[in-house]
Amino acid sequence: MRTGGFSRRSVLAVSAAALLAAPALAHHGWAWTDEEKFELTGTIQEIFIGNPHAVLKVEAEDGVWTVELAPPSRTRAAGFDENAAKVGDQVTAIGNRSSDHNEKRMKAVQLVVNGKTHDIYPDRIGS
Amino acid sequence: MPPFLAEFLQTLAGSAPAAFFRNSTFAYASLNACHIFSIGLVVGSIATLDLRLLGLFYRFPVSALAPPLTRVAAAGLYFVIVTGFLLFCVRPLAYAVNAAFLAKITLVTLGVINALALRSSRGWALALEDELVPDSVRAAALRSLLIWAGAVFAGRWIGFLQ
Repeated sequence: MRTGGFSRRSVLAVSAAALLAAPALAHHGWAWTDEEKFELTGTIQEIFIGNPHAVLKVEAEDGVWTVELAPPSRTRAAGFDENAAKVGDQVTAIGNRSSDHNEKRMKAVQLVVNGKTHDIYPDRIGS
Repeated sequence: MPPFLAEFLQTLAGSAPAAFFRNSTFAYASLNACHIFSIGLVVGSIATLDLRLLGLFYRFPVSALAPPLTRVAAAGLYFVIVTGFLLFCVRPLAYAVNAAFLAKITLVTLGVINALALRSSRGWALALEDELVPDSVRAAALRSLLIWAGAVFAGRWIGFLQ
């Protein structure tokens, strides 16, 4: 039986490299954000309320930000549903920005839009 | 994006299954789990076969391992596509312009073409009949490992570009 071609060791090395390449980060939670709170004000460009989590695109002075909210059930429970805002509305998002400051992305704990305040993650507000 | 495609994706987004999975946490999480389980079937079986073709587990004949492993992979691929399509429908317009999603679809297509080309090659027939694995088959097995690993990597990356 032939075993030449690629050595067993090289096969293992390639497989190990492929496994290690899988991202160790999780996209959920807050591990990817700054500790301190951040506030963003701008104009809503796009609203998505759905799984895996709701997302806003917000045009601010320095460009378009991605504002991640909670999963749809939690986002709606905070009062932010399809009728809460529309494209073009002014919004202030309070939350934590990505610790990679080249990235215009944050996770909001609270939204202020059309005179209403939506507490998406009440336990995280003010901390 | 051409208007007809945008219109088609809009129709997908407006469909009942899309709305269901978009709004139900339990259904979405379950669908996601089914997708991951199916990926496990594809990668688990194909990686085992690829490693055998590359020279590992050489005590076990290719002709005995190949049929069950390829069948599990084919069934897994079927479920990957069904669950993946439903996940795509939740937010088609965003995914359709997501670079990681497009890379993943390209890699899955390449992986399928690579597998089909391998199965119709003379080298594959030789490996099954004589238990001799030619270099062309080894090269296809290595490509397969890299392509499927890349597809998983790109797939995991989709959420980071949204």
